[in-house]
Amino acid sequence: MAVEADNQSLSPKAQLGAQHDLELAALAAGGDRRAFGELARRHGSAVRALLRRMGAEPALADDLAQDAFLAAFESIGEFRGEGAFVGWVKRIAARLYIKRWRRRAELDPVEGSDMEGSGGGEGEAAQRLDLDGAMALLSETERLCVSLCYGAGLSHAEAAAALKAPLGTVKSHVKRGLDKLKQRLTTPDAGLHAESGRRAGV
Amino acid sequence: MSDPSFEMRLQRMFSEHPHYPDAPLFAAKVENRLARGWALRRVLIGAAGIVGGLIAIAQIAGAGFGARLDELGRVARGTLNAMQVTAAHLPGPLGDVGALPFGGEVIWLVAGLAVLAGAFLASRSIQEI
Repeated sequence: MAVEADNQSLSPKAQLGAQHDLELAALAAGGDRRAFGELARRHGSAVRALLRRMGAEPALADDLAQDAFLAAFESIGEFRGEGAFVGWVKRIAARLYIKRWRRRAELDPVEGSDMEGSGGGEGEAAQRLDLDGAMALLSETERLCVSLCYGAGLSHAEAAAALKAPLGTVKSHVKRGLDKLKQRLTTPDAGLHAESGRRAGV
Repeated sequence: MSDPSFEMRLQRMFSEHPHYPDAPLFAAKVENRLARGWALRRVLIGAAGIVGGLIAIAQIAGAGFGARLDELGRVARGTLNAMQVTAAHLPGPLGDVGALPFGGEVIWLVAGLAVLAGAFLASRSIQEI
């Protein structure tokens, strides 16, 4: 009773802030744009971070994250609430990035770009989190495959279908990526050596 | 060899993310783009209605609609007269129906109002969609 009374005394914005994702999604399905705005406020950073970890430049990641939320609003009726809302938007965003990435890569994208990452990490976020620094050590395709499977929650088969690449190719990219990440994330010095080697031009 | 504990750790790390300081701005941009898309949709529906209306008017004018309307009016008036005459012969209070001031114009007025109501309902339905 007291909680209900408290909720009624809150401003409309605060009321939205107190609601669960599923309730907000239901309101958004009824055309409530403010409810959807609250979802974007809540989960925008997660989607943007995923896109950056996939390899998108910060500005592109932000644009694609916006596009993903707009696409999610358009098809909010398809969201059944079986998984987390943020996971659903992440998958939409990941597929948008793959589309963009495939257009850029033009030919045989998964085989096409195996350049090692720069390890530099753009922006604060890359320096703040170990994972971002470690991801920067992966090749473009390893980074994409690992983030699709572990960040966007796609299975290997789903990632292969999204990338239009053979399942075995995706699996081997994931495995190589995992090996590098494990080395970097479990042995603190590994990353430093790799970094100093790169700086020295080795 | 896969390492489930490392994979779980990796999944956990992926689920942790930085909170960007411009998160409210990002959400505002999403809301603005949604509002813009909505406004554009309404303008397009309105424009489609106007274009459709103009095409309908052009078709009606081109098909000699005025002459046909006069003809229909005459038919309606004749039918009404016949109905009023018939109603006047009916027994009791039903006979009073024939005495009502009921002309062909009323039929057209009712038909016009029905068309307007239909158009209103259709536009509301499209907006809901």
